[in-house]
Amino acid sequence: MSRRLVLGPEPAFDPFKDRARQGEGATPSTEIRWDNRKVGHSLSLVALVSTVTVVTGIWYPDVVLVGTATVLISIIIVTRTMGSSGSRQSVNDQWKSVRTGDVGFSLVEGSVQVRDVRGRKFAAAMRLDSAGSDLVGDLGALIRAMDDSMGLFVSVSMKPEKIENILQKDRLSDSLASFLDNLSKDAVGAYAARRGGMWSTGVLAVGYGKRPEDLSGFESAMRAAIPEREWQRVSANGLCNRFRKVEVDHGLTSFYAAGSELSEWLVQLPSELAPEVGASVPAEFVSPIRSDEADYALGVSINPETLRLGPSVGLADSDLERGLLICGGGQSERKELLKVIIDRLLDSGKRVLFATGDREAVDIAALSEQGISLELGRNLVLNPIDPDGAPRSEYVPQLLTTLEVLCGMDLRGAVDLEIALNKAVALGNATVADVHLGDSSDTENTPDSNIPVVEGHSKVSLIGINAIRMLHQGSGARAFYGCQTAPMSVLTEVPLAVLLLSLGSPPLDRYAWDLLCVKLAGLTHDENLIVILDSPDNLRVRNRQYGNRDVWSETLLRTLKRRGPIIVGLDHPADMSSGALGVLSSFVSLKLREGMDLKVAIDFLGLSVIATGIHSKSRQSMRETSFLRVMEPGVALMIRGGSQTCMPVKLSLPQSDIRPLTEDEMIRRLAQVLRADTVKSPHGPDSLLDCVAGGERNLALRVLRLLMKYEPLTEEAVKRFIVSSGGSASDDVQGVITRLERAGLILRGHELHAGVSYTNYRITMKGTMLLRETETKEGSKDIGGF
Amino acid sequence: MLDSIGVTPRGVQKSAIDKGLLDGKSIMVCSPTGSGKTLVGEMALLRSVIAGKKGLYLVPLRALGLQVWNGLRERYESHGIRVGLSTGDYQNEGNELSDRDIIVTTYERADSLLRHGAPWLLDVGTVVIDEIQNLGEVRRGARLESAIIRLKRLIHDLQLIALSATVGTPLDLSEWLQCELIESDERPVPLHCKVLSTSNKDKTVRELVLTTIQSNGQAIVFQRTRREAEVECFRLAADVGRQLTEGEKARLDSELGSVENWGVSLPPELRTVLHDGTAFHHAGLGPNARGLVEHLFQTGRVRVVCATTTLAAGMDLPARTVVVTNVKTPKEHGQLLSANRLHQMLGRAGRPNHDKVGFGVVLTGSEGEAEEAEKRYFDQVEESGKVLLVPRYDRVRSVLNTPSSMTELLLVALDEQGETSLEEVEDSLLNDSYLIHCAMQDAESPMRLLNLGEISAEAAIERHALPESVRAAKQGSFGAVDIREKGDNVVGAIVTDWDGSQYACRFSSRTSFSGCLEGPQCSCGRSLDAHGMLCSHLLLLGASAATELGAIADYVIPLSLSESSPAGILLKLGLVEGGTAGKLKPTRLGRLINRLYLSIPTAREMLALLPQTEDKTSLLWLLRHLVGIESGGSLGESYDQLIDAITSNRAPISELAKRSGFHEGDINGLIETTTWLLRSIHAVGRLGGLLPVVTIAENMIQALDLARGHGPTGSDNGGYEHNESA
Repeated sequence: MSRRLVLGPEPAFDPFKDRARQGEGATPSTEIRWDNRKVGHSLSLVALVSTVTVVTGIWYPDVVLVGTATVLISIIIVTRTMGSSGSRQSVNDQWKSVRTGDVGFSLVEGSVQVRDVRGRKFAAAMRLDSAGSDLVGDLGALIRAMDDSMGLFVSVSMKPEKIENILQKDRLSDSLASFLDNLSKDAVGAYAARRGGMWSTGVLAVGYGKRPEDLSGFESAMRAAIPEREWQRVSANGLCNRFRKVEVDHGLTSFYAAGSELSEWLVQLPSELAPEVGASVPAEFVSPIRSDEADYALGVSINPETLRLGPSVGLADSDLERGLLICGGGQSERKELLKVIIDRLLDSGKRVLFATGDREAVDIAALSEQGISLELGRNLVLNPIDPDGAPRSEYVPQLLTTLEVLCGMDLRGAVDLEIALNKAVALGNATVADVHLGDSSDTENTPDSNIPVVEGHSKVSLIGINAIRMLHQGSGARAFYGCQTAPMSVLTEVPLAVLLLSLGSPPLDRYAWDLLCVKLAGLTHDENLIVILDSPDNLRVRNRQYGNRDVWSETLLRTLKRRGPIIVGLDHPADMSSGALGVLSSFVSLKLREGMDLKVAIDFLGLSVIATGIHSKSRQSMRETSFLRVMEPGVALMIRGGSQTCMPVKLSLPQSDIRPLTEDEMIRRLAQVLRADTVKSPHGPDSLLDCVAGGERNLALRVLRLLMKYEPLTEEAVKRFIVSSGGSASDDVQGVITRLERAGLILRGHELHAGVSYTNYRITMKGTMLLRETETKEGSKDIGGF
Repeated sequence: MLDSIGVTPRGVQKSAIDKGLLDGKSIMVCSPTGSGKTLVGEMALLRSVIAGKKGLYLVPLRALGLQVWNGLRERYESHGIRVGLSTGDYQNEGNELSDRDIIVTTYERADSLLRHGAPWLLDVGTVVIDEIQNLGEVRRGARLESAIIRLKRLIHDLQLIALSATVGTPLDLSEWLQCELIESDERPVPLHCKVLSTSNKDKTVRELVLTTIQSNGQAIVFQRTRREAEVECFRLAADVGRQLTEGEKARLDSELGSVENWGVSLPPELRTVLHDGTAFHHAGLGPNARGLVEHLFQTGRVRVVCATTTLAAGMDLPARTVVVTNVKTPKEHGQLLSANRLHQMLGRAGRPNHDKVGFGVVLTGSEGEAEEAEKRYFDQVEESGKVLLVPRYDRVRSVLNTPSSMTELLLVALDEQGETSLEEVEDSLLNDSYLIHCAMQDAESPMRLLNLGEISAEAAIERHALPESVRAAKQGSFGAVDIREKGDNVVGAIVTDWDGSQYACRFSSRTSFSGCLEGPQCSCGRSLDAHGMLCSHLLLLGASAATELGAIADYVIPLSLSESSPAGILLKLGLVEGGTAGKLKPTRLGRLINRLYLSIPTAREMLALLPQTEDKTSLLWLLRHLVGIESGGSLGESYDQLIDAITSNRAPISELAKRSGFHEGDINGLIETTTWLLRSIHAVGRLGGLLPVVTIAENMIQALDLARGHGPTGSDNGGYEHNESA
């Protein structure tokens, strides 16, 4: 019996001896190298080899000499051989051009020209080697004094002053100087180290300009901003030497802030410092110090202190993608602003879909040579049953919700209606006329069979179906009944499409906006398509009789934002639900009057802050709020996504009126656009048949041929034909028929024989054409028989 | 001869004689049930026989034909008059009837004989058409009208006797038939009608029936379906049985057990209720059982019969009280019975020489339904302070204009006339039709009455609109059209009326969830009026779409209006082909189909599937499918099993039918239809060179003939090959 161990039985074999994997091992030696964890040679071996070498060198020096020479020659030969073979190989290799550095500098006619990612510019520098103690000057004043459109570089260097120099320059008070004089040299040094020394401060400012002449005022601006006598202009060579010293043209080994980062930092500086300096100012307008060339310029900023105009400001793509709200002002003023934005967007190659309820805004279509305008109910029909490519599972529930505005009630329990909508949408090429509730077995005997039978369905569904009837046969028919005149895919392909949604009836208008939003939300993400909703009625949820709109409007806006860039224009921001407002990140506010609007606006414009501390309290800046109320026309407050503060902007609204398009011009443009759509066919007929028939292409063809000859044929006969035709489809007879019917290749009907109704099928025009084309390609085959 | 059978002409019979019945004048008699119409027909037939010609007696039902045949044989065979009966066997030329003086036949068989061109038809002097109001029934009416037209064209001095108890505005019909009209409201027993609304129909029926029986009367209760009739019978049996005396029950039992009735096969449940003086009567009963029930009722043994409509169509079985429990049609629960059908049922009320007055009661489920029924079926006449309900009959309208009837008629015309143009068919055959006759007198007839050739959207619209409306629509006088849908199966638009109001209109060839064609729809709510005329909005849309959309409109609009091209259908099926100078002529297949008396849908299904039919199983399936189309109703696999058993076993058909769950009354018609279709398949298969199916069909025909006791007929094809070669 084996001895019992505390840690269990002893293993039957030594695991170290059975290491199967190469490269692994276990050693009891402690001579393991720390860096690579390898076991080094033992010291005895090293000592032995060294001894042998020394002895051999002493007794046989020739051997060592010859050996050394051999090694050296070998190294030379190998190096040369490898070098030549490497150069030969490198000739054959594919060479890649190495980009020159983004930043470079050179001397041009006595000025320093700097090249960076934004192009070429000239630089001039001022240095202040020994600044006075009052260098603390107003940084804001410095920045405003400078033309920083091309950037500005300011560096402050600090160097500890030797105590001897301090004493020599009489910078200490007399008492302290006499005290230090009494101390030994080491004691003075210790005093300075322990109690603090003085620092020698230097400033280097580099200004930029497009031309050398732009820098003429740089020196005076610097001197004015920081009134120091010691300012010296750095010579061009000296500046080049400084650039060379920091190797700006050899790839940066350390981080240098570009002008934009610096300016942003500077802009934020005051507000961040505000609590610390004890001003406790809730918020302030902040004027940017530089313009951004990548923006869609809206105008120029206004200096809140001096009311002088500053650099140009505008919107970035990211602002639109995060959602932009343009609110306040009058309809015409908002229209002018939107016109500017659309113009800028078109210039940058974006496409715009502009939906408005304002008839006056239709002439915006003239901004683009390919712009079109469509009026709902006149030359635009929005077919609610056409999902425009959106997934049915998402579209139908949304469609059901849109009907709520017509019903004035919650339709969540309208299961029958949802099923009816689902069936109609699944039909393809259907309209509101195809929406019927459930099994209408009694319809054929009613005088008018198109009136849906409404017995046996929930009350909510019945109310919903009445809304559908309103869209089909009632006042909404002109706008919503029929095939969609212009599919969304077409409207979003043109550079500028203006849709006028003005039906004159508030519920219908709201429904139209809802439907349009649902359709737009169903489109695939496209960052180059900007959707602009001007005064969308469906987003106004304040004081509505049917109050269940808050969540819906928020959801709608969120899905729209997910699709791509969006701009919402609204006169009263308070009309929107707080949730919907939260979806948008950027705001441009024109003049607001209503207290409710102001309350909402100061919130999203960041004009209120909450102070720190336990007793935090929201405070508003009366000055800015008042400004919002009394802004002149053409002035707006803007806050961009991601920033905390808003800026006043003087909008550049061009006065030139656009020539509205004539009716003929518009018809011509529409015809071009819509014709292009009809010509476009994503699938060839063959691919359609393959797609429809799946693996039963030949069988599908045979069924079509059968119906071509014997139409209409009863369902039983068609099924029998498929079964007797054999093939794997015999297991899925109904599947073949359904697929052909869904694809519109065969049409279901019915016939009566001796009072009994039979379902029958006939080939459609589409099926006939497909069959002919297929037979033209493949040759006609008879199905046999008579 | 009439004297010898104890008949003295009276009432309408005397009037008919006065109008020249015995001089060969055509007569139309419209008089209530029991007024002696049948005798007018018999007198005309006898006149024809005496004049050395033959007489044809056309009836709507096989059962009625059997009844008439029995009556005629009973009365006149002893006078040397040979009476023949022919129903079914449409594939047969009918040569065996050539030695008969009077031939009783159904409308369809008469049409079939005409298509075969039976030579003895030229010897016919008088044709009696019983229940002429059936001219307005879909399919059957068209075939009857077609047969009448061709009979009149075939036989120059033909005497037509049309009989009906229930026909509205008979003058139109008599003018078309060129008959002297004899109208009479005199009933041998006055009829009092009443429409009752009740929430408990069973209780009301019970009360009505028991009241009648307690006053020594008899009652007939009409139900919609066979099952309902049986259930009602079981429900009433106990109550009725209690009203009978022991003596009456004993007499009834002795009658049931008498030697004459030993051979009658009665369903056990019927035998049970018969003991209580109650019976049910429907087409599912065998002829012997039906005969026994009728006999027991006529002799007063049975006091109550619960029946379906089979009892109403011309059967001479009166009772004091007739109760119609439902005014909906048997096939469609939502559709009202035609007025003629209802009054045919109510007309059974009042037994001559037994009752002083007959009571016809219509039961409805609600006041609203009662009001609707009163308006639909009766005129209200005030007489001595009381409001009486007087039957109002429907005007008989031609049904020839339906696409299927017109297609069939075109094939018939081409077969008869050979190579012909469509215009010639219209001029020769259709101009003599009741359809044209009515249209000429009717101000509400559409712009285009006939359309045998290609059907376009314009033509389809013209067939559903008055001429002036079409003209106004084409000129745009009705308003403006904004087309909103133009799909493969829908054309829709918003029509703005002249007063600015807008309507959503649509022609849809889709089917609704219930499987019905959506057809024309308009938000004005009057898309199609009672005469099938489109509203002005749809008319405007149709006219506009026809010019703007072209092929799409030509496809969708005719389909949505259920219009099709008769010539196109026949050409597509290969039944006719192009001849010289744009004329059409029938193909061999077309002639064959016509003479086999196959309807176009039946022929279409047969032709489509016959090439795929290669074994007995698939042939049985095809037979079942075709029998279903021809006779209505859906047959299950039990049909296949039955036919397979009949053609494989030697067991009697009745026994096999019972095993398969078929009613005895249905089995004969089913076997007859099966045989006819099997012979048709055999003939068509032989023409198409489909040998496997021909062999199988031949064996099955022989087996069926053997089972029916007809003996093997070999490859008897009814002689149509001879005709074809001719």
